Amino acid sequence: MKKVLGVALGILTAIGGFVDMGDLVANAETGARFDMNLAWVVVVGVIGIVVYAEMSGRVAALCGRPVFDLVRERLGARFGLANLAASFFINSLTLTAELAGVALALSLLTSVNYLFLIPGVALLVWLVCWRMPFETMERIFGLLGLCLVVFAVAVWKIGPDWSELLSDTAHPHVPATDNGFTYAYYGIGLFGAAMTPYEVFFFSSGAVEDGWTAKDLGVNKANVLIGFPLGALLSLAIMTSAHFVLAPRDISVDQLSQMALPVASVLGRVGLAVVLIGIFAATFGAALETALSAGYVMAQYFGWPWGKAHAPREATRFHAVVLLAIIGAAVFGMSGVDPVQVTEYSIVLSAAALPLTYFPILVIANDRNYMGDEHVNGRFVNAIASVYLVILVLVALATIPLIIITKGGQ
Amino acid sequence: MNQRRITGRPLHATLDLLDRQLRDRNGVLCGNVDDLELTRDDETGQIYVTAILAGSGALAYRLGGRRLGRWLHEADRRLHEGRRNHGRIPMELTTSIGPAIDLAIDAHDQSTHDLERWTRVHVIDHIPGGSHRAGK
Amino acid sequence: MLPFVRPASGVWAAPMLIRGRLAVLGAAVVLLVGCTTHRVGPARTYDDFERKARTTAEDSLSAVETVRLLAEVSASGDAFGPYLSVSVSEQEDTLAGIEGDFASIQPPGPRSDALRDELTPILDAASTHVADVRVAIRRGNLRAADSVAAPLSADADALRTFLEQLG
Repeated sequence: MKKVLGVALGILTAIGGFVDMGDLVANAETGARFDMNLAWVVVVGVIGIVVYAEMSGRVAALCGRPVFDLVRERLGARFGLANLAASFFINSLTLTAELAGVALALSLLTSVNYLFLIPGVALLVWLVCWRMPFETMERIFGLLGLCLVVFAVAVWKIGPDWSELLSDTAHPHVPATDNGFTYAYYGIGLFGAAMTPYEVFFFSSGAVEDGWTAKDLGVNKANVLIGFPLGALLSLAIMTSAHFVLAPRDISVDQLSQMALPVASVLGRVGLAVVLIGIFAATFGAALETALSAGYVMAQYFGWPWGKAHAPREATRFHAVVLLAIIGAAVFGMSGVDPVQVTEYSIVLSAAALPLTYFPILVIANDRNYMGDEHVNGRFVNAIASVYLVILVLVALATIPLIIITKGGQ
Repeated sequence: MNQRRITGRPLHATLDLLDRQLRDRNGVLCGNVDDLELTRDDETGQIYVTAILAGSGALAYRLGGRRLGRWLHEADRRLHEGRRNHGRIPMELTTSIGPAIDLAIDAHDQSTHDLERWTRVHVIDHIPGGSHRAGK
Repeated sequence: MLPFVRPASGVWAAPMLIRGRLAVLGAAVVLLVGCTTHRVGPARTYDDFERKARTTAEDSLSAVETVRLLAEVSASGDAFGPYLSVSVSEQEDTLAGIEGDFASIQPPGPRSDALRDELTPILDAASTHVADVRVAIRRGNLRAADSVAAPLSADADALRTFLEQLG
């Protein structure tokens, strides 16, 4: 019974933890601007993250090392360094976006200007990383993040014509009012939001810290196969709610408050309160994960002691990096930079860096020296993963040109 | 004439050794193998790996930042004059070579740990609660 | 070393790794600047100006419609004070920014002037009406918000007509 509960908890945490600031921004913006014409990207993205997260969990369980840790030794110090630089930079943008998201959610509940709230949020995030019982906090925020289910409730309450909705989703096209380039740009952002690198760094480092072994491979699969897809349904609910409520009014999303508006309009005060709590929790959890990921990638590349399970005295550089990352992100956030724009950049750049993150996972998951003969990738998994790698490279190549052509999605 | 013969196990230096994680006698992570010292046996002409280089500018040097690597090495030498080996760990001190390389030394004596110690003294110790493990 | 070939200097002399890092740093700076500066630039031709007018009208329409929806939601008791007041203020600031950006674009010729003279009053009216809604909500008159917001419906129509005209 206890085991079942543990698995259930893990799945629930995955759902609640699936949606972060990037997903909120990406899904709400595309729903408002492109209706359901980009929903297929979410489906493609979730298959990708399921396949690769399962692989990285498997690597962590069998090698006792997280994937990023293995990048340097398997793919070389140079590639590892390029990977570190890119990952760290994008991770920092993402952390800024998450901290801002938490502050914005709080601001909408208290009417205090979000800029004043960022320092407090940053301090709280750091305190949890520094010393509070991490797993408990993660569980709490993961479960509270489930409040975002209210988006699905709102869609259900709207009572759409389901067959029409499904038909629209299954037959995407570029709307007449937009051009193919902006369509592709938003698609890439959505894809980057669905497959964000920090999730994999965090997930595999966490698996090692939790002492996963070959026995946990089944749990790994369950978490990944159930948690992520349900999380993707949440993302689609956000997109659908924006499509039904915002798109008909020609409202384009550029503030967090607008993302919650469909829920308020359909479900009233209670719905609004629930969604804001959900956003607060989801972005807070994501901030924790991103902050730790900053420490993980830096420490794992250089071989420093790492891990939130260590007392800070025993992993000083790791904790110093986490602290500096949080401070840096908070300072950048307070500089008045537009949080939604930062989020857009973080997801689009994440998309550009995806091959760097996922290529090593595929290589290591196929290496018998690391995985043992039994657990090396099967042909089916390899086929899907390879197709995705090609997609990732194409997406990465298209990103910078699209940023320039569309002038950042206008 | 040097009577001491070098013996060794054949390994693929780049695959099995380079960039591997190092662990000390207590399992503490103490850096990666940044570079390797190779010595040629005068008699047989065989090349042996005689030491692991970790920290002290070795990685920077290997990746092409020669000046940076030399500077870091110099800095290490000047700051820790009493130390015998600056970033050089003789192969005799390796106790096992596998996914990670275990060493029969203490992490705290190595140059790879200097920054760790500095960070502890100047940053971590100034913040309360640093000795507490973030429990489950 | 060849005596009459000058060695590379400056950035190009740096080994590949450092150049790579500089490239990343450069890209980072470019993108950070992109995040923090306004997206509107100068207009050199009528087409350019027309495009910017279109974006201005679209963005303003979004802000106006958002405030209308917020007023609706406020009047029906479907939201609470802090959320409404922060949201309306955000749209007010957005609108002010849009207006300011549009006003600062130098119209390249008389045809653009006509466009400008048509759009600017609409933007002014919208700003005033949005401010009225903000005042009402901050005062706590949540139930009255939709009647205060009534003029915004005409502003939205004016913007839509303007956009249709542009074709």
